[in-house]
Amino acid sequence: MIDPALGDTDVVVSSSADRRRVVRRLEVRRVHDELRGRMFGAEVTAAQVGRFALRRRLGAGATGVVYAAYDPQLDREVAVKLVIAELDELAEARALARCSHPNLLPVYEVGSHDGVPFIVSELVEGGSLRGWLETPRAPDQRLAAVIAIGRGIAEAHRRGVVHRDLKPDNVLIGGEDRPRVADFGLARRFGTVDDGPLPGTPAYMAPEQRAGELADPRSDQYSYAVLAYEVLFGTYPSMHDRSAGPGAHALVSAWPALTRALALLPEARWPNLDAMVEALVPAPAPAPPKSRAWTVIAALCAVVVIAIVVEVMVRRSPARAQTPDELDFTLMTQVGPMMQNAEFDACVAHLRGRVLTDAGRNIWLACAQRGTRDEVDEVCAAWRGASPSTVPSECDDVVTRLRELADAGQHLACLDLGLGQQATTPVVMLVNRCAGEINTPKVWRRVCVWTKRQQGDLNADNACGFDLQ
Amino acid sequence: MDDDAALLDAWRGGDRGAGERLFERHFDAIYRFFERKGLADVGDLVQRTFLGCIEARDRFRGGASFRTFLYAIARHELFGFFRGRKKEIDFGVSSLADLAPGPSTIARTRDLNELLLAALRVIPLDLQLALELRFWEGLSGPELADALEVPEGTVRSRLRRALEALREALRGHEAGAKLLASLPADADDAFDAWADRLRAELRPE
Repeated sequence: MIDPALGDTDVVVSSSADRRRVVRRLEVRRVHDELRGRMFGAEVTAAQVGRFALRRRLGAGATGVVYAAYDPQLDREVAVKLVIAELDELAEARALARCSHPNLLPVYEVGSHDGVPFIVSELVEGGSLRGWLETPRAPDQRLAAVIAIGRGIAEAHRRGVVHRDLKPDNVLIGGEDRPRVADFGLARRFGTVDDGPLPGTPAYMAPEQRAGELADPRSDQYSYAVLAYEVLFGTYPSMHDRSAGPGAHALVSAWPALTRALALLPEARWPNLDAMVEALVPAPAPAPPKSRAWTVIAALCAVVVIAIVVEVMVRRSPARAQTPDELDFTLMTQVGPMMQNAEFDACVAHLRGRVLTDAGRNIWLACAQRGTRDEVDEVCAAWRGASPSTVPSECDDVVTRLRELADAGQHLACLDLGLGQQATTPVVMLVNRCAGEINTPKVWRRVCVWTKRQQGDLNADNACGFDLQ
Repeated sequence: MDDDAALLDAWRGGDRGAGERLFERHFDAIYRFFERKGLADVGDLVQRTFLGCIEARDRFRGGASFRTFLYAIARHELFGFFRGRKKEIDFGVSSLADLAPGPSTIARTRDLNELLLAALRVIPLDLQLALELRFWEGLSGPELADALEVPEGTVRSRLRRALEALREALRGHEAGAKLLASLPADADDAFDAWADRLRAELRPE
């Protein structure tokens, strides 16, 4: 009944309704036997899936049911996932069984039980990233988790495995804070859905994936960026969110990497996940001196010296201004701590009237958005004056209005307004957020048609694969 | 010793075998009762219900069937389970969807069976239980009165209100239109015929 992971003989043909029946029978029997043992001291053998003895149910989701089980052959506890959703194959699970990476959940083997495919993997005590996030975590801890998750996915991509349904629930994180990405390839495809809830998780899906295209590494990248945003800032990405929390310092450095990954068009994203993850990794300390104290002192001196030099250069000879890189570095050292301490007024005051690059203006805008509307207008006006071609769409009134509607819970109004706009990144994100709240096939279809049209697809009305009737 | 009441007495007297026979006889029904609530630990609630019936032995009147007696205990266990999480719940107002929000929302469902279950989840729990025990477990009016511990007249009005609430929950839902159109006005003979037809449709096996 079980095939070793490297075999590929079992063909699973049962429908998801059949599978659900099999899984239900198994669960009824397990509970029944367990209670007979518990209440009457009856000698019972545990319900089995393959050679694995089911011990307790860990959870049930859209794609299947997971049990903690015991493998008598290797004398260890494992997790057994019975897959209910109809999938073309378990190719991803098989492929993953061949690779090992500290941030990928090890898949031990796959098999089939009465026509229901199952995946046996490491049992991670601790729960999902979703639960991990419920405890307050330091910004660097969050960033470390995000980077580790990215490395795991990047490794899978190198093996030709696409996840298709990245979200915090699909990342397991044990007691030692090591995240492990799980459930590769388990999301159903849009085209195969004729009933039941939507496949995948729309809030995390890339626009093209919602439009019915097959997931690829770049749509994974988008989902990963949504997940990363949530981990770092505790909120769904709506650029420059006012409610972004204590991770403000991390926000500044992670920002470019995330915005790029969240681009509407896949071509505009990072070429691959490795590149994106490298962009998320904080720059290493400047010098490698012998002692820790020296490192700190040296870094502080460097910062102070550069800041003084820059200050002098900017004041004395505006013509010999810093290079953009120098400017950005200086600003980070000055404004970063303010953002970290949520001193947004100080940040705004510090940046007002300065010579800035676009990156600097972005930071100014972010700080202003925690303040008043006038402050935002001021940034936008300055931006238009200095560099009209790069004014971000956050400066459009419509984005502000969309955000207000979304924050006020008026999701339908938000959609109606958003779907009449150009699909710029902030508009798409706000539209996705509002659509995610309503979350009906009808709404996702509207979003899909809109994004398709924006991509120049003349057949947009027919291209959004899910037929409603 | 085939009588449920006699088995219960024997079990209370320490005869585990008698308890086991009772358990075997009624496990499926009580399992289904909790299963439809979509809760994580069905086993625990089933166990509490069976153990609860030993303690509640004196409340078991000979006239009522043992199964309805079990349902009454199961109902208390269910309410107790929710009360343990949150104080002051009115089960005539709160629905399962309020108490234990699940992933399956009515708007996303197109499968008839799931749709019915999803609609039941959003009506007040008291009404849901009445309709459910009538619909799936086929309890008669007097049996329902026992299980729900209310007078028979209340059972009738509760079923009527449950159907109204169900109708309200299904209104405006595309896939629900057919189900909505078929709903009987009252829980009388027409209800049973409707339930039979629908059950046949839901369980094509």
